[in-house]
Amino acid sequence: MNAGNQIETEILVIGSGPGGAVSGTLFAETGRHVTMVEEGDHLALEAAPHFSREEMLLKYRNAGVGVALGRHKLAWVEGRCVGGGSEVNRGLYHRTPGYVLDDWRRRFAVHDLDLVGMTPHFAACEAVARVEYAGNAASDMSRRLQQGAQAQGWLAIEAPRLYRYDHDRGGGVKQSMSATFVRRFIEAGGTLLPATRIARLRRMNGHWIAEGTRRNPDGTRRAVTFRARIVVAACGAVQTPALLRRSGLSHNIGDSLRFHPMVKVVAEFDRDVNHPDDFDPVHQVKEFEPRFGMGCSISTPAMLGVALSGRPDHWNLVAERWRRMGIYYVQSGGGTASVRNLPGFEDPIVRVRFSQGDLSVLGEGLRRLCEALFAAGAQRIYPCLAGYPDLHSPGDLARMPSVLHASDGNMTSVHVFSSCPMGEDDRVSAANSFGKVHGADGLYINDASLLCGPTSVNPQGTVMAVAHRNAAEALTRRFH
Amino acid sequence: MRDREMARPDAVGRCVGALVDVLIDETRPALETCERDIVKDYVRATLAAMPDYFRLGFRVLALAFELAPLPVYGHRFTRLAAAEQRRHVDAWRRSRIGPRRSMIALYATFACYGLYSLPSAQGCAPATRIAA
Ligand SMILES: Cc1cc2nc3c(=O)[nH]c(=O)nc-3n(C[C@H](O)[C@H](O)[C@H](O)COP(=O)(O)OP(=O)(O)OC[C@H]3O[C@@H](n4cnc5c(N)ncnc54)[C@H](O)[C@@H]3O)c2cc1C
Repeated sequence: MNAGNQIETEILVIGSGPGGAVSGTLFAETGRHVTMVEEGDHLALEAAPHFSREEMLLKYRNAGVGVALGRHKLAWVEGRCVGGGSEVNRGLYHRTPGYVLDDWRRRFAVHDLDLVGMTPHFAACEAVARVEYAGNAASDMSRRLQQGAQAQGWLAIEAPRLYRYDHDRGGGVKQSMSATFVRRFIEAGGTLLPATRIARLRRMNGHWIAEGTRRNPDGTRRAVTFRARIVVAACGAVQTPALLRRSGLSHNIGDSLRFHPMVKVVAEFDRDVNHPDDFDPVHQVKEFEPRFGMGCSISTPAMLGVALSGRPDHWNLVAERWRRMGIYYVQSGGGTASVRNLPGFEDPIVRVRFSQGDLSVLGEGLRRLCEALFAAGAQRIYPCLAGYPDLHSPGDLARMPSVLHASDGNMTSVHVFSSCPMGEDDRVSAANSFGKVHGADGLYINDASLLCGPTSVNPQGTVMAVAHRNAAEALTRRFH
Repeated sequence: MRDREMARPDAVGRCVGALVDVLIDETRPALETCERDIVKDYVRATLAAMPDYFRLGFRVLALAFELAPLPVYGHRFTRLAAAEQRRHVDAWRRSRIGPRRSMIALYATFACYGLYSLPSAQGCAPATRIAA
């Protein structure tokens, strides 16, 4: 039922990341008439090499430039393409720890949220987007972190990934949304409209009108309007509150954005640990969660170059020694941010605040990370923080400040959430226990925005399972 | 639209191109022109895609950066000799004014990423699978 640029649909899902893709698929598979719009393009997984310059331009929002402003700035990135963040991430996977769900249930009065109740939703998502361990195929660089942690007597594990490993031939297939849920969505009769951005929503005669634009192949835009009984906002934790605020909805929306802020070091070992054909690193230190966790980052020469760019002669350093080097991180759940729209601009502004406590947790985490890396045989550690000295032995750790001194660009994050928390306590939540926006009929949020706080583990598994749970509940309640 | 901007950069694009040249010279003075152009195009594309309020701010900063040498050297940045360009970049890099430092830091980061991503840097670079 389309007239010109007016499109009629029963359910409009805005955003095709893990939250939107899982919700849209469930609705389409029960025979609902669903349209899923996505601001970015529909691109093959191989459209650009992973973690490359081309991928930044093609698949990341704002080419990977996102900066939360504040005394201590934080740089973050998000995906912007069909599949959202799942297309550009490593797919490290965890079910949400029970203690995190219990904490959310208590603090936000979320109904029916615990590990037992969530288990079928995790299982349903894992049946579509497969989760596997690298096992023996994990890289040396990744194992070094585990060895170092174990030498310290700390708990360290291999995280599984949303990935199907081909152990015989090497390589494998990433289980991103475009390769899994989005395919099922289309097979079930759902309509996917990429290159379509929704600018605002308004209510008219019991329906939602979503106004936006579609991008033509030459880059120009034309106006498009959708009319739907049900709208599911799944634009990610920054864009969902921005859209809702542009639409006049602001109750607890965009006031409580959270991150997993992360600081990195480069460790140099006495022998090669980094090989061109290695799988993505997978080991993580769990000993100190939820205060902070540790892991190993993508450590291509390009990433090492950027990580070491503050050092004189970084080019020769990387060219000579990159095979002996790996990038490692510590991340916490500290800092709180707000999302606001600026009059006259399209992109929302994010402001972040860190307490002294947040910075001392990261300071301690950084020291512990270096301890583990020295225990793993690191000969030298280069903190990726302006003004921090290179470390040559555990004795040098005493020279590191106990409270993190982070200047511009030193703190980064790839995990954003909690900007519109769910729960029955409407003093702190934006939507009810299943994502229905308080006081707005037929309007749902179903993405990382809904999570009540940091997950402490990698969040995509939680985003998918919560989306599955909420979509199933909406179907059971017939959207009432 | 963006392709056209890449092909014929405006005043800001030209200034950014010259700045990226200075940054490249700090590590790879012998880099071929065609490879320099790849890095410059990448940095300009990043500028074109960054959040609109940052883009506006960085365009204004780039114009200020371009014109700031006039009283000292009698020429704008893009017309300076290489040594003077280097001195001007250094002065902004060490400036007490935060936005000046931030501007150089931002372009340095993206120029660096562009540089390390060049095919010629790939002797040491990831094959298709490292980031599978
Ligand atoms: C580089 C990177 C690495 C990561 N690594 C991991 C990892 O290893 N493991 C893990 O668990 N998590 C990881 N994450 C985080 C994970 O990807 C996110 O938690 C997850 O993608 C969030 O899903 P979402 O649906 O909330 O939002 P998103 O994935 O951000 O999807 C939202 C989609 O909505 C679209 N959109 C936004 N606004 C509009 C609009 N107005 N109109 C139309 N469409 C719109 C966006 O373009 C985007 O595609 C990583 C993220 C990144 C960026």
